[in-house]
Amino acid sequence: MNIELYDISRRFGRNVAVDGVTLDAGPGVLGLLGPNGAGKTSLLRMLATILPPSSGKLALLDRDPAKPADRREIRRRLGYLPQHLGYYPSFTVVEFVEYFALLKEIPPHLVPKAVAAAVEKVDLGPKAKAKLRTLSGGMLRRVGIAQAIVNEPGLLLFDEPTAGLDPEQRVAFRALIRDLGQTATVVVSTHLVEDVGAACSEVALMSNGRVVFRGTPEELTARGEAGQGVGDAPLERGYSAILAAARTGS
Amino acid sequence: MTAVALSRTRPAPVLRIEIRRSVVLWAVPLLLALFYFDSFRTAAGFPPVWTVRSSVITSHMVADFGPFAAGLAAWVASREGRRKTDDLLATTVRPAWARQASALGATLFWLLLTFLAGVAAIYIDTARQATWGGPPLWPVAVGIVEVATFAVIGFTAGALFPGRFTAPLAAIGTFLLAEVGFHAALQVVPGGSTYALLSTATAVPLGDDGVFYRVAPDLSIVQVMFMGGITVALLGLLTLAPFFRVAYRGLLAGVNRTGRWLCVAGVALLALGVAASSTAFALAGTAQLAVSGWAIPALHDSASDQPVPYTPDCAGTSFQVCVHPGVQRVPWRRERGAPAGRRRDRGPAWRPGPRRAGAVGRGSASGAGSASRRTGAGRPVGNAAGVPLHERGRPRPVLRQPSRNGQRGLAGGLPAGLPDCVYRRATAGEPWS
Repeated sequence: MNIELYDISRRFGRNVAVDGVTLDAGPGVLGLLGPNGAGKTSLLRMLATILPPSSGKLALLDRDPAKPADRREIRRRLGYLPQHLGYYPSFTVVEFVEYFALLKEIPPHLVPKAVAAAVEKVDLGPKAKAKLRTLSGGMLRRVGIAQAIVNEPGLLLFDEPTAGLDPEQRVAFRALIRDLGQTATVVVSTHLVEDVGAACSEVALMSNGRVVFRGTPEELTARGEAGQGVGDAPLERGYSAILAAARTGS
Repeated sequence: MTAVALSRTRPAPVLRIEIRRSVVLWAVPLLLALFYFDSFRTAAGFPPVWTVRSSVITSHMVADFGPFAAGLAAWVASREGRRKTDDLLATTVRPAWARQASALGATLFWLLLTFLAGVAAIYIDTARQATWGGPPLWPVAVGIVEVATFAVIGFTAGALFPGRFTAPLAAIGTFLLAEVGFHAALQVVPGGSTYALLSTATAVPLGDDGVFYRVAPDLSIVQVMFMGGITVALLGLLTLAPFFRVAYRGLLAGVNRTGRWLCVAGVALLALGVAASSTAFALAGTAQLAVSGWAIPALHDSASDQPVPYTPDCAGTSFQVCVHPGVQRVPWRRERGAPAGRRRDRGPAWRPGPRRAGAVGRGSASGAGSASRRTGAGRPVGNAAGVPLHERGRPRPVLRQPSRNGQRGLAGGLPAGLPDCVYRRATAGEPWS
């Protein structure tokens, strides 16, 4: 298993962002769904070794991120795209991806090839020499995806990856994460249930810091048909039905 | 999974990207313009004596570069906070201190390269005109260390308090700090507190330093030690920054977050820097005036007090006036009666020498020795003591009194910029107190 969480909690003062989550995941694409403030981003930041958990056990890529040496090794094989991508406007696309490739300690002689491959995967080849300040929001998102996959990671964490992408790019991105999910564990945190339906092999639904549903997209759809869910698409109905049940405690 | 082999790398490629995309590059034209209109033109107006021209490095160039260095470094250091890349960067293998080292390295690279280009311009211009001596290196060392210190102060502020206002505040703060140092330096009098000598504003040598006597490097060593100590201590503070962020959770949490060896390195750097600066501070308090400038007894080499041999130049005039070859090309002033204000405005031309200059020449024609010995003890001749400290064309007060009862002398005169009282006392031949 690339991700093993056991009773993980994270508190910020009196606020409990993640409350006793137990979860495991191997290679494949795991969709992380939930309303605003459900704890998705906090969970993702713990998986990205940015935040230490307040309590519980956490193992990533069969290593313990609490140990500095293990944390380094995890980070070598980690790709992360935060919800709000920060970037340096004066860098070009290639320089930005190269910068992260070097910070991820890819050997310098392999960097150009890895950078070129990552930039091509997100279809930014024609814009490779463009300064980041000249790119649109969708293109910047693709630059963020390129830096996340440049080291061919074993664990990929995407926070709202399709925000700002046009429909064509979203389709391409779903194909990309399906491809990456063949060998790596990809966790996609999103509000867009259609992304989950199209690309994810598994879904975890969070509410108030807890995982209230874990299953396949088909199982989520089935919950919608059986319950009181509202929405235009079957997945949306399943999503709302589970959330409604979680709120009422049933 | 990892088809791309992963291993440790050298920091050079990251540094290369940082150098290529450094924000300092945008400021280089501004720094060069500032250098040309302030430092270079001031130096070009000074007599072509190495020590006098090189004084511009610590008096003008550092004042020009320092606030910019601090502001630009703060802007670079606050980049991760301003640009919200801290989360993204936190997931990379390379630790924060290594990233910051690359960013600081690139900032220093461009700043010091521009600074050294300015020094080279001044020295090349001086080399074309000077008739005596060679380029002094201590002012360059002091200038480099001070610019680096300003940059590290700004960088530390930017790293610890990332925000868009940190950079301008750092620039303004360091400018005020330099001004405070300068004004404190003005209060330095022999026999009084000499701690303000740590400000490089006081590092301007005597007008005849390096001509009759070698320039003692004592003060420069102390200044480099003091500024270098501050720089090293701040680097230690930067190394320990992750520790301080979680220090409220206890010592162990801080050490775990930072890493044991990094904690040790940070504490060692901090201790080393504080020790160096404290030592320099203590040494500055022992400064005394000597014939070769400010002397720090613990560092002073008495060989510096020996006069530099020279052969007087007696050619080129109908009335034989022998001068030191170092001042062959000094433009002599003719209008002695010019108003004081006007004299100041005219810049750094040298004032006419005392009437006894001819006697000096005859007495020293036989060879080496200091002019002062041949002019009779107890009476000042020429530039007996003054330190012309120019601040953007304004004369600075003299910080030093003559050594050895005014026995030093330059057969030629005082540099302009000296306060009138000093000028009158020197030319009237009054003994210095």
